[in-house]
Amino acid sequence: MSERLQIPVEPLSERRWQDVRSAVLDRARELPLRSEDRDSPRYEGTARTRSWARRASPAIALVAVAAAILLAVTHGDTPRVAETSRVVTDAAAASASAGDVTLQLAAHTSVLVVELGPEQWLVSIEYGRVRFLVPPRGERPSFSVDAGRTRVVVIGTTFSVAREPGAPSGDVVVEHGTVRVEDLAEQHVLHDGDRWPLLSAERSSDAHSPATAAPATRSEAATAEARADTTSPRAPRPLSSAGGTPSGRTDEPTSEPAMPVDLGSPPPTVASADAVTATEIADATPASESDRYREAEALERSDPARALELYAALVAEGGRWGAPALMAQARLEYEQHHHAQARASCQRYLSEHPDGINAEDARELLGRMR
Amino acid sequence: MPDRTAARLADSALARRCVAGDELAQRALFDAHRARVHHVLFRVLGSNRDIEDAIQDAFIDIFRSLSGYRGEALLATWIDRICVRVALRTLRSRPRDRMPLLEIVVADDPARGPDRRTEAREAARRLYAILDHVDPTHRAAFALHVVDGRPLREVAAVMGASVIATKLRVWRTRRRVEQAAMRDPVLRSFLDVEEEGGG
Repeated sequence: MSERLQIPVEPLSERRWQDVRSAVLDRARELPLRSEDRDSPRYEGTARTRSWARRASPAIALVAVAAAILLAVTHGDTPRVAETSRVVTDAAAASASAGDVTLQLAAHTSVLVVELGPEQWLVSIEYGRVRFLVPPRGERPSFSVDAGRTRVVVIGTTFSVAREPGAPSGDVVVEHGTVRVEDLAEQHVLHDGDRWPLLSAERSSDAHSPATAAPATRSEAATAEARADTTSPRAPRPLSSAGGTPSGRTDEPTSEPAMPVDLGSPPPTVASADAVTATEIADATPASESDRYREAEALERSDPARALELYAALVAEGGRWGAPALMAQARLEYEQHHHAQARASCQRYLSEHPDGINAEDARELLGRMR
Repeated sequence: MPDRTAARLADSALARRCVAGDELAQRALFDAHRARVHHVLFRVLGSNRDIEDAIQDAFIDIFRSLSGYRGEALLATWIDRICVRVALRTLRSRPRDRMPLLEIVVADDPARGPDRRTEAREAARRLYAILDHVDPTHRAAFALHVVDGRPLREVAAVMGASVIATKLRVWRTRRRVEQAAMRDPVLRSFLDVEEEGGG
């Protein structure tokens, strides 16, 4: 099915659109759209005073610039921040705060601080590295950090996020506490000492600068061990499980029960490694299995031979991603018309994982090749 | 990133006005996103039949959920998720043996000629007829990835599923379509399906 069937979207006439718009707006008037939060004075668009204590040394250039809507500056030590501000450091590190959250910015770092709501903040790292000290959030909204497409949702913790200039995602290191990392469709819960790495393909193509080098940790192995303790390495992962979006996620539509969530990523670790500090961090951690699996997925079209190599390596290691990699290998071999190899891979899958989540697929693929 | 953040801020401001009952804002949101809503619903449902009802349902769900929108994702992405859910709900409420209406047209391609365009239209109709008998979540994943050409990661994000699960859904649906295409020369000619048992 290499040729995509070109099916343009048949337009609706403007008359039909007008009817739909009228119906929608009529129905919207009857909806209880207002929420208590939205009716509160803070949503009236006025600038309000927020704690924005700057604790930078005199030698540090700490520049707050209005970026989106407005930035109001008050007198004394508590500049007032409304909506969005940009904080930039040059040759030296600096500290800043957003509400009760402390930001420790490394040199040559730029962040946007966005006030999304009452005590709800989003920090977007444009480049550089920031260490966050977040008091427990309790009933308050979560604290979020963006680094490219990587999002960190914080409950209450101390952690660092680094992003190289222009990099699509960021590196996350958790010192204490718990955060949730979202990277496109994947979500991981990180605990003490865990890290969220860059995709290996992206990492290998980027040079690390001293100011923004990813703070790799020794915790990945510890985390892997912790996972191994709680999850059988070959245990079939369910394709679907009841449940919904992670708690605390606020951007999910609320009008309908959440869709079942497919678990494509390794489950969050439940055992915690010893907390590590930034000074204990070692360099150069090999790409994780999931990273290599994703890299293989990404290469399937552009370099299927390399993708097959990566899948084969994962299979040979026999780790948690071995079974999915074996099935992916079989499928890709089939698609590449290497039917003999595909047959062997399917048979191996069924031999090693007779009740695996892809067993049905393997049998069906075998049936087709017969 | 600054552009994206600015877009999120604008989205948040528009959402706040909508939630506050500002009808101008609601109209602006409708006009800004109607094409996107229609596009996603059309791709999954396969035709414009009854699509006005689905569009209405999608926008009502959007307005009803806006109070929970915090600007953590682009409003467009957030709307896509709602549209997929509405499309799935619509599909599940349809009779199983229903056939899509012949409203699919194929873009003009002089090189192909009118006969080819007619065949393509018929192939599209047959494709969605096959998809009528596929699990709605599989159908949506297939339609958004294969027909609409969206990356798997984006489809996964919109559907709230993992990339692996989405890939499997697409793959299973693709096999189903290929199997049907083996017996259907019109569909096969457009899908470039390899002969069964080859290799």
